[in-house]
Amino acid sequence: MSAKARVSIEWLSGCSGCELGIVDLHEKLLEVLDEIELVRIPILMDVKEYVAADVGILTGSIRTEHDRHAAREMRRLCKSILAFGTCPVYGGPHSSAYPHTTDELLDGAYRSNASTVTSEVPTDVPRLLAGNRPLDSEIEVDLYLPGCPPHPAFIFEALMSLVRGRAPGIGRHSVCFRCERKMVKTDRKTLRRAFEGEFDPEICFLSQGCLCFGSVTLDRCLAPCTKVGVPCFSCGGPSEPVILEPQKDVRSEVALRMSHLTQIPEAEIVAEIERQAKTHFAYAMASPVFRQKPTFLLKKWTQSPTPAGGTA
Amino acid sequence: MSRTIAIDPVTRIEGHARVEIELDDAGKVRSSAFKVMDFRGFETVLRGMQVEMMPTVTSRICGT
Amino acid sequence: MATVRIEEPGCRGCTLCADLCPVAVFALREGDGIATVVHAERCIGCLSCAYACPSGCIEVGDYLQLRPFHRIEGHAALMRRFLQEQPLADALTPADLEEAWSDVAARLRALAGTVTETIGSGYRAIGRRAGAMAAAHLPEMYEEAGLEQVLGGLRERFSYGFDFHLEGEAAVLDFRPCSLCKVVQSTGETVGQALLCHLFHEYWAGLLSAFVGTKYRYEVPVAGESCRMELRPA
Ligand code: SF4
Ligand code: SF4
Ligand code: SF4
Repeated sequence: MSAKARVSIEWLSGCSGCELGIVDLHEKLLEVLDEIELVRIPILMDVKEYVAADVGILTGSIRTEHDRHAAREMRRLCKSILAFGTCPVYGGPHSSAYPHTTDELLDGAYRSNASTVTSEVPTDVPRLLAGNRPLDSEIEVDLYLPGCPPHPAFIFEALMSLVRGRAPGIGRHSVCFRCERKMVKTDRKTLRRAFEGEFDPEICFLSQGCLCFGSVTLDRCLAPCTKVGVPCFSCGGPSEPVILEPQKDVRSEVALRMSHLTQIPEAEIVAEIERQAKTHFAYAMASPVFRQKPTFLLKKWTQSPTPAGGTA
Repeated sequence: MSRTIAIDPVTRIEGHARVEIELDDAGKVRSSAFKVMDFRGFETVLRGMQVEMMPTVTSRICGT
Repeated sequence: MATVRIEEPGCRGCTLCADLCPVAVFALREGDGIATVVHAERCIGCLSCAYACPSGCIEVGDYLQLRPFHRIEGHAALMRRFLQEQPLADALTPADLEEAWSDVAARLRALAGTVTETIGSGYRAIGRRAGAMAAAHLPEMYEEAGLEQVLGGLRERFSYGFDFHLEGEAAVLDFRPCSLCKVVQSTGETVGQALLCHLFHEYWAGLLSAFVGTKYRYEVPVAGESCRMELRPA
């Protein structure tokens, strides 16, 4: 029998939800552990050094000098690198710092934060880099598994295909694929927010005038949100057409579908998405994917003086 | 002789941290510090976001 | 023939594929409105459906062999039908053209910005590669014997604002004015020096190199309101 594949895990700037995603494999974890040996996982083991491994799994994004150092050490010591979760793939939710300078962020957290007593910026901690960045801005990445966190079904398939050296069968669908809501044409004429009025749980949010980003989001989640009444907010990052085609972007694609299903004019939907850009591009705003399309204006949209607010 | 004990990184917790304990000549603790290494700026990031998204975004501050 | 498949359980019943497909490949099932493939044999491989589908559940396969459509009589007939059913060209007004111009200009400026930011000095290779790829979409040119005929063919295709002629070994292209001129000037850059100009020149060099099978180098002795570009085998 061949030796088990050595897997080393390191976290950069993230929330550790991805580590929990691995734990969420539950009994399947035992099956995984038959084939891999975890040689480093800071949330479970007291290994302080970086160690040589076959597979290096990195969660979190590159935000500090320490992240950069950790990423380079992992690349040096691991044969292949898996960017695990939306943070290393696209930057993650804190990508929404994109319209702010690092100094503004520090100011918001320490100097002028009404709820803390300190007013000093900590010293003797790793220096912050100029912005939040995906992992491949720093090191070469072999495999990408977005998802915030990825659903255990995808994690299992990714890990198994990796250790067995086969192509992962994890699908290129968007979230709508697994959403059980039905898209129907309605005569809805205005947009409304998720807290405005009642929503039919069987019918697509778009049909009901509420923005939902399922159709522009890669399915790495099996659509849990829309099944419990929350519109998709794109935590898994952009869908395949948005990534591959320069002329497709999140706004135009959602607006196309929504205006097809309702009486709401396409331009109005586009304008509303731009106004809400800080929310709806949050998880992937740091990604260069969005610099190559009209979305290169993201900074402007998110800084626009119109407050992002309700439509009521 | 005074000395400093550093635990870096602290493992089996969520996130990145370092603990530094300074001992004086008699081996008594002079000072101790728990230093948090990461910073993402959620305080500012959340400003201007849609309020209905707060439950989902803020749950990503800490995922454990 | 292309293959068109809808993967279960992805269809949400949005009807986009049925409404967008120019040759009515899809039908909506009575009752639940789920899309089904009824005439895969008609597919012209435009991929509208695959891109529009919100779930990404439509898979169009083997469509490359359908390209270029116009070379296959059956497809040409389909295209004619398509164009007659949607007489877009008649409906265009000068205001539409102006809007289209500013849209294209914005995209070109965005392209230049992106290329500068992400590729840096590698842009020359990109321009050349784009030219070589475009060559593959003008297959009739390959049938032309020799440079003169190729230039003749290109002249016919790109007659608007361009002129092509041969001076000895050199292919000379005159642009009066080049359509990029206005775009470049609108950003305050110098015509001939801007990244878009370089990309465009590399594109031509790539295109011609692909047709002739020899590498071409270029010079731009005149740039401004009209530009001249001279391509010589390297
Ligand atoms: S847009 Fe949202 S609600 Fe509609 S089908 Fe897609 S995921 Fe479901
Ligand atoms: S690829 Fe184009 S022609 Fe073929 S089925 Fe899709 S929309 Fe119709
Ligand atoms: S585009 Fe996709 S979701 Fe919409 S009807 Fe066609 S197959 Fe169904």
